Amino acid sequence: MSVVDFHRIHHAYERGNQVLRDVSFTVERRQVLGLLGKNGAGKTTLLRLAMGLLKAQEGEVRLLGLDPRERPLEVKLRVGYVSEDQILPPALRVRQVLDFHRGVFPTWDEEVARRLGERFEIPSEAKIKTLSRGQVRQVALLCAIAHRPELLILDEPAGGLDPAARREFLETSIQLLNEAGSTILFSSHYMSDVERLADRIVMLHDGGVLVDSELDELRESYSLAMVPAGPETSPERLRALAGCTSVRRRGDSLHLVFELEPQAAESLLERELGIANSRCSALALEEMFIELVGGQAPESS
Amino acid sequence: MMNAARADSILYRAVSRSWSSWLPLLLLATGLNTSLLFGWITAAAARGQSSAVPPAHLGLLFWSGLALYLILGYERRRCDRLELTLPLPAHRLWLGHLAAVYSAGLAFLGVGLGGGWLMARVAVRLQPSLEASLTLRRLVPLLLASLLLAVALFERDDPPQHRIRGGFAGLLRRLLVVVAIGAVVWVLSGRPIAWSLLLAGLAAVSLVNTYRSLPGSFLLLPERPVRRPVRGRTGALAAPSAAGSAPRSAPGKLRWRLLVRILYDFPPWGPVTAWVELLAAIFIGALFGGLFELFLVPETEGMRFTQLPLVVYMLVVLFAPLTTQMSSLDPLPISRRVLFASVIVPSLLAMVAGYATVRLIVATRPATPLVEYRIEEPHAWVGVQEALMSATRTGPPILESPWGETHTAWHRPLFKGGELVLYSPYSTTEETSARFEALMLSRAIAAGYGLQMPWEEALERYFEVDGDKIVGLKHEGVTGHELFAGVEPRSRGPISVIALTMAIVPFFLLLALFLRTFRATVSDRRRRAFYWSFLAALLIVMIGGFTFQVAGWFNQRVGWAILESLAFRWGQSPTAMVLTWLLCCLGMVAAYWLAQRAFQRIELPATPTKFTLVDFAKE
Repeated sequence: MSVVDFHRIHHAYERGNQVLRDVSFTVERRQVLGLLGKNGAGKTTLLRLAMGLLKAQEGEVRLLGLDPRERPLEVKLRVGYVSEDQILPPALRVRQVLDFHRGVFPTWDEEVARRLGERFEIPSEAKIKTLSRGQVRQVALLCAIAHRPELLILDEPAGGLDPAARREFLETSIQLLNEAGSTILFSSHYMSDVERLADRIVMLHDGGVLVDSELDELRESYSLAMVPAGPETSPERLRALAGCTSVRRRGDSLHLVFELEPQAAESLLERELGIANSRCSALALEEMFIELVGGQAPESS
Repeated sequence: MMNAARADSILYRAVSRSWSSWLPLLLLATGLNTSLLFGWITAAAARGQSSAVPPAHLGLLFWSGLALYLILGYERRRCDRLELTLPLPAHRLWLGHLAAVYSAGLAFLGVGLGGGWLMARVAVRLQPSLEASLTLRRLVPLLLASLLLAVALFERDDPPQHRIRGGFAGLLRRLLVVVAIGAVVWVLSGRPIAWSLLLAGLAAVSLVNTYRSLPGSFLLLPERPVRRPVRGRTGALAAPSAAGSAPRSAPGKLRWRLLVRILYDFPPWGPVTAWVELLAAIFIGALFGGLFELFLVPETEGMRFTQLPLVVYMLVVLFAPLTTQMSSLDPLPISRRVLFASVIVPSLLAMVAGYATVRLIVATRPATPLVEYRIEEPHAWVGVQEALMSATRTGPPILESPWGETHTAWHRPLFKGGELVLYSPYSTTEETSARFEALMLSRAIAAGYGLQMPWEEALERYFEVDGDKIVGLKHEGVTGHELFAGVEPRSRGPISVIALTMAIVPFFLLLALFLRTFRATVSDRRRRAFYWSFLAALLIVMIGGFTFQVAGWFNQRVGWAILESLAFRWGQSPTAMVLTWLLCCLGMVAAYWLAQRAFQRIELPATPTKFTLVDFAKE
């Protein structure tokens, strides 16, 4: 049984603002899945649907085999959730926030809370409103992890944090939950974080799933080719090539993304267009994101 | 002389700065509130002995509108961050700010006075003797000067800063200033204009003083940071467990105290929010229970029923801000039913407590007589409370005595020209004979007190008769209370619980409707528009009720009187009494269930919707 199962999800906001179109994927036990996408791609909506905070207008969401809208308490008891816009009660002291969460979760693990408390060095008597942004996020993470959730959902959890704080934050979550065999579903804009932590990525674009792949597999299977722009290399013709997923103009040249290894892409270009010595290389995740997600917009607009 | 650039700057600031998008809503609230309170004060005066509205009441009424602005709407920024970086002198920025905040205050005063003027016209039409005491222009200089003084005192706070102090301390300071000046307005209302000039003079001195103390350029932050005591700076979080001490709560046991704090503790009032909510709920309950009538105008007890839309309005207003804190609780495994109860039950219980307290006080006081006999020039009559009246759809009935004397019963239609009328089966007129009046009195006594007294005995015991006319009473006093001293009136029936049900059920139904706007497909703007629309509708219903009554189109007092008379009848049968209570309780529980069901389905926005002016006042 999958830990998370999104099946043919459609969701729209007001005035036909369709955010998700026919989105389907699953997350398996112990997987760390990074959810990528541009702003407004629907990452937060998807994670809020997973938590049962929103109801899918079409399709089905299952968490740990349960419908989060029908059985919200059972789901939330087994899930930890931290989001960028999560508001901790500003007037409470850190100790009181922990007390409150301890009271809400029967599986609260005092030892985990203690370890994290030591690691984060958060002053227990300080009020939430007096803490820095990073500290507040650490308190939220502590609350989400200390009850040993089977699934941790992080929605842009490290947004706005400096690199050191971000690394500390994410590595702590992954390390602690990996020990317990938990599953993690997180969204992020930081490709370096995703590359370092995720073992699988799902990239959302135009309301749908553009890429759903193991990270290692992804690195091997995508390549970037740069060809000179000219009458022989019109974007339409290039896009028609087998395995070409994106074409983008960059000055006098065109950037092509292939769902092929670099050598296979070079051979294809030579065979189909007679372009010898085209420069093909493997793609870093950040470049892949820009080429795949950012590259389509100028062409379509 | 002010140069053009400066004038432009000040004008720009006056228009753009203080006129943020929500200020019109605050203005609307001020206009409506002032009109309502004005109507109340004048109605109380019209029904009272003196037929004059004390100027202090009017002064305080208009000041309350300004107080709303000064506490919630006052722009604390003397300049924004961009202006701080521009080569603009602080003096010039401050003058612009001053013009903006004072002109906004003038708008509030104008709206309040406008609403008051309209209500004054209505009141004078109803009761011409009020005209002399409703000359609003005499209050204008005092209010203008008081507003200026308040602004001057506000501006004395931290002149080097680009922003006047906020937070709890700042709010408290502003409250003190507003209350103190309110007291001054109370005392000086109706006094010669010289007093207003004195206040304006004091304000001017203060403003000049502030102007002179301004720096060349405002500061973004205080020169010296505020020192806060810091406890448990590092590693303190882990200390209790490391030291082996037990945690304060057992896992899985919801800490209600903290839940309540999370829900009720937010800016600008912080922990005081819970008290504000509870006190407001108690007050509105007491108002509906008859607080004003109890202490101000005892003989207008039925007026409390006209507050029904206000009660529903206030309950919704008390609920809305609490949704802002729910976003933080939504991802936690806390049942929606628990959350709903946490935000609904305290306010509701407080409202019911306020209501019940006043009703209990009323019950322990000498009851308003159900039957009375009044002798006032030019004639005398048998008067009964609405509970003893009846309603009919066939027009006013003819009252008849065994000896054939008749007259048309006193009556009031529910709708203008409608057949449904409320009438008194015991009414008399100037023309009716002494025998007839005694007959009516004996019938009323039987209905209201359960005493069987033949009309001949009533005539003999109570009246001095000259020919066929009553010329006086044999006992001191004219009220039925003295006439029937020692005799307990019959129960008024379950009117209190009926009235409460009529407030609580619509509240829950409206809430269920309102909660339907908490969907991902409904934008914040639409949700807010819906919220403000139905609040406005409730206020319009209330004001419309008064207006229709004045115009004679619909008499809401008759409507309530019909209900009172029905309740009185049900109250005479234990079975009917129990059934009424049961139905009322069932109605309230069913309405609660409906609202709870709607709440369980809501989708809370990630960023809480700002519903109320208090939300907007948060920064």
